[in-house]
Amino acid sequence: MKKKQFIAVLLSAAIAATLLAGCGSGGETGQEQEDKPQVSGDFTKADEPIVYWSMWDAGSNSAVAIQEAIDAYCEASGNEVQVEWKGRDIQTIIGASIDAGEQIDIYEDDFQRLSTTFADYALPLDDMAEEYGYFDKSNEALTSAVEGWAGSLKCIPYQGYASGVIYNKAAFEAAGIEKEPETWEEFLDVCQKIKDAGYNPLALDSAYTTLNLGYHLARYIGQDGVKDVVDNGKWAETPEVLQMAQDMEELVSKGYFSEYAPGAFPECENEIGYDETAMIVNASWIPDEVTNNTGCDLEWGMFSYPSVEGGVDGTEAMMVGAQGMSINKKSENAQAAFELMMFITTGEWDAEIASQTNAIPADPANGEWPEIIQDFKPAFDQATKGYEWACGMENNADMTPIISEWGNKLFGGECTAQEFVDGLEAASN
Amino acid sequence: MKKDKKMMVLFLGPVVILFAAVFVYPIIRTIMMSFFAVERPSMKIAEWSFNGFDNYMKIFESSFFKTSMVNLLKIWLIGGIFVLCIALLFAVILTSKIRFSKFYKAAIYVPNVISAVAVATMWIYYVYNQRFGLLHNIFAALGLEELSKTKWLGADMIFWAMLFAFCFSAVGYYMLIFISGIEKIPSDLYEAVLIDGAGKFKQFWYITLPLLKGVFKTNITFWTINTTAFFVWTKMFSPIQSENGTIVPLVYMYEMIFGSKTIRTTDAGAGAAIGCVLTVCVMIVFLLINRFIKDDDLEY
Repeated sequence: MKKKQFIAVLLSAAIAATLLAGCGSGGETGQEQEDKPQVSGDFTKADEPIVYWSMWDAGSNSAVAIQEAIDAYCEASGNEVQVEWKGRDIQTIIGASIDAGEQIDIYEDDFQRLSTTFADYALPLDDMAEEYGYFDKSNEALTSAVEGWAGSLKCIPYQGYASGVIYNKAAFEAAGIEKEPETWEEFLDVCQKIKDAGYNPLALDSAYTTLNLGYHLARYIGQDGVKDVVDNGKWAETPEVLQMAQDMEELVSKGYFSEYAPGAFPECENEIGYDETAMIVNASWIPDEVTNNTGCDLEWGMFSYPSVEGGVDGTEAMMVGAQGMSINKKSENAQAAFELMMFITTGEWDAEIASQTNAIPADPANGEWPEIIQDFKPAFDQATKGYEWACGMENNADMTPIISEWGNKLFGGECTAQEFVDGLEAASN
Repeated sequence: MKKDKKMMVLFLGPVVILFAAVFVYPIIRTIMMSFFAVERPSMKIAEWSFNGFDNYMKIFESSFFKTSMVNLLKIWLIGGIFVLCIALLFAVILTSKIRFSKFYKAAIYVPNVISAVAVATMWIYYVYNQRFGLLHNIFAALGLEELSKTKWLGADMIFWAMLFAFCFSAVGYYMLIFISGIEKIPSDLYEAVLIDGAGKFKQFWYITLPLLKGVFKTNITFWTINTTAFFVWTKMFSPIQSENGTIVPLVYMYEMIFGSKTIRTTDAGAGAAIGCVLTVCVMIVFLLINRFIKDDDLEY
């Protein structure tokens, strides 16, 4: 009996020691352990499980791919990770949860929101990134955008997106188009050829009206100019606004939009999947979205939004964005959490996640993009200037619904370019 | 019977504490927050700074808020008249001993059992869709080509499309309340007017309607509370971008408190002010209906 008790005590001690030590300790003791992070292989030993709040819903493609990466990290590092799939509503709970003292090490959201709304909660990652050599493994446009908004690297961008004119290659072939347009005149010519080939040249859903208006106006006056118009109500006194509206009016009057445009999302974008419409001004998630919605099997292409005559910006300027991961500034596992983020967003697992989710890899070294968007890469690579969402057209939250309404009227042929300008000018005043 | 105060405290204490913590404290905090500059709802009170009525000024100057309040008023008034009239009509019909009344009751109530998200999806994709929707198909089959091409979810129509879909789902709930009110009316009252020669319409006008005053008060109060909380339908009809035709105050409040794709500076103080304004609206409606609909003179 005593022998059994002795064995039980030994086993209990062993289990307790295992729990305390985790997987593979560095062999250091006492003060040394407190001063220096314990390392298991190339990984820092986390004293507690790393708590990871994700913006994805459990079971989604992204969640499955990230979970696989986390499993691989746990196996490699010996650390434990507790993942909570919070879904897109994470933005409503993350601030309150951290304020309430919830132990969260990593949390995700849109990279711009992490760098602005939630920047105060995040640990600056510049030093760790420098030490890790992260800046050689990341997209400069995205990381510099984060630093621009937050003043330091407050999040690690991943699952980036590019934007422009996304098209069905078969429609271009049917219309005999061999070169992607770069200027507005070339774009109009392409639209006419596509129409002659029996396709609707353009799709548009009302959810993206401001994006279309913003992109075109930004080509004329740049993103800062768009923000100035929107924030200060300079609709009538900025001649480029009328010019932009007239360009859009021309697209409508020539019948280049689908007869259902602007549709209720995703009504019109799905027309590309039905092989009825050729192009849409949107972002690199369109192929995946349309394929899921319609079951189509298309070859997709993308070119940068065309430049306009006398415009400030050309095809080098592109609206880009990403999801992001931040580390809670109160995290006691910051180094290990950072390494987990690097594990997921760089190298092999970044490529794997991008492949499984049809997204753009965060690590530029992963040159091979998922097949469905592989031809988007040249347009993305040539972009040297980043625009924010809708190129500044949604910068004034008060005006956004009004711009959207007038935009829908303009694209629906229910108002003229001049009425569009006058309507927005009146609403601004 | 002698009152045992200790027992009263023992039984009521937990409930009162819970009520104070879950209801009273958030209400007081929200009212206070509406007079302070507060970035996030979870900020400590020590971090708030008093700014008087600035939050209220801010929201009343916002075109987003003004449009959303107009939309809410239209939903409340036009939708309310439509829903309560149809609900009353159904209630009267279904309490007049028609065949299969239980089936009809269940069928009309079903949209209340189904999630609003599912019902809204059904309307958007299977009724209003310009290519395959029910309305498109019906008008096309009738040879009404122009009507079949109507953009039900376009800028001009989206509010009415959303309102009709919302009302369709709401009718069953109010119908059941009306039915319960009608069933409480003693049958001998109807027998008496029947002997006096009153037809169905006169029975309804002189018996049913006056004796349902209390039920009307209940239904109008519930309708006001439900429309004030209008949110999901807007998010379904404008899933990505706020549109003038669908915005309501709660959407504005949500974006103020939690931010959005383009609102990066949250303002929980302004959000709290919106909540207070909505609460005052509900209280005004409640006071008005109590002032103008008197039912305490009814005894049956």
